Amino acid sequence: MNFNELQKQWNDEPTDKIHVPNTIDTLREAQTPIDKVRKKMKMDFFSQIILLILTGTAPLIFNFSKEATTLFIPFYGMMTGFMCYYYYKFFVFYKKSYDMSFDSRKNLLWFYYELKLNIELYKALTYIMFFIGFSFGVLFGIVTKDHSKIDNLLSGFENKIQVLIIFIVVMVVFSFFMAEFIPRWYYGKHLKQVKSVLDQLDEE
Amino acid sequence: MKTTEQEFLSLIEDHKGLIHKVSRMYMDEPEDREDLFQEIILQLWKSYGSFKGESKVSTWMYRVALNTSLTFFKKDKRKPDNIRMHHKMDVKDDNEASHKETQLDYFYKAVHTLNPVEKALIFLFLEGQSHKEIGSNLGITEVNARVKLNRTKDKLQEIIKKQGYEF
Repeated sequence: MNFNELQKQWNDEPTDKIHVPNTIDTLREAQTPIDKVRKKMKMDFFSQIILLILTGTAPLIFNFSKEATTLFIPFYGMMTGFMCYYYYKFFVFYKKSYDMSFDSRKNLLWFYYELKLNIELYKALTYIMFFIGFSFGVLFGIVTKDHSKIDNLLSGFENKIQVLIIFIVVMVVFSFFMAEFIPRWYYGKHLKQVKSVLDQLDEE
Repeated sequence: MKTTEQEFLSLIEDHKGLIHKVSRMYMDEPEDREDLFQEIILQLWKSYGSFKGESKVSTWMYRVALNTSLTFFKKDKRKPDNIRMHHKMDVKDDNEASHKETQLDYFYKAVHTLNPVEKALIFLFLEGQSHKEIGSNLGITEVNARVKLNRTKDKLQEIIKKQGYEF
């Protein structure tokens, strides 16, 4: 194979049949992993906001007593605070202008480490949320004087302690699943793809 | 249409061959190629505002086009269609233009079996870039760029040979 001959043909390749769109508006939506991740982040943000609002209505929906509502407020405040911090970090990443005119390695490294950091933050937030929710549940059980609702729920079971332990284990497994697998399923694919190109660049 | 957009599109018109070649190297199927072609233009447009003219237009374009292509993973798992290639091989054509087109066709088919970084190396080489420039665009050292490029050229020759074609 003669590369010089190929280079000549390469340079002589006609360009008259290549069509350039007349306006930018006719172009399709951006599809790079960075743009896809940003789109998912946006969706994630709105779904979390809805979840936060719904959680805020819990005292009304479940008819909390005055004591339970008073207990709920600081926990809800903590949840909101952590979420705000996390989404502030995410927003900074979302808004940070990425420069495609960097060299390829720099460009890919920036994206890889920023996304990795955000995934770790996402995991931490999920664990914190479960911990807050669980702590509230325990304190709610202690504070509330009327245990009839809890008793009604457990009325069908002989060993109530066992049921509670199983419930706690299920919650821990669920929180682990949410923290470890959801971000991997949601963002992991993009991280893997970018890492594979980075490895190809770094190969000696 | 705004003046900036007009200026940008005329710049794209002048360099459309470059974008077309990158798209052709990275995507085998015409629809995917068109998608990548549009994606590169979109990414160029997004970074057009921050392009201050400190580097050459072509350097800026090479980088944005390659960075976009390196992470454009859409449907890129397809393998070259060997059956279609062999069918083309049987057709004898003494016309020189057709012969050259076939050589380029074979080249592009072989290129699709390379990984994204190898494609970038071959692309920059065919665009006449030195090892230093290739290294600078990809963010690797000049020596590494030379070693990788030589390996990729050998690999490419091997692939074309295996496909029963030599030029």
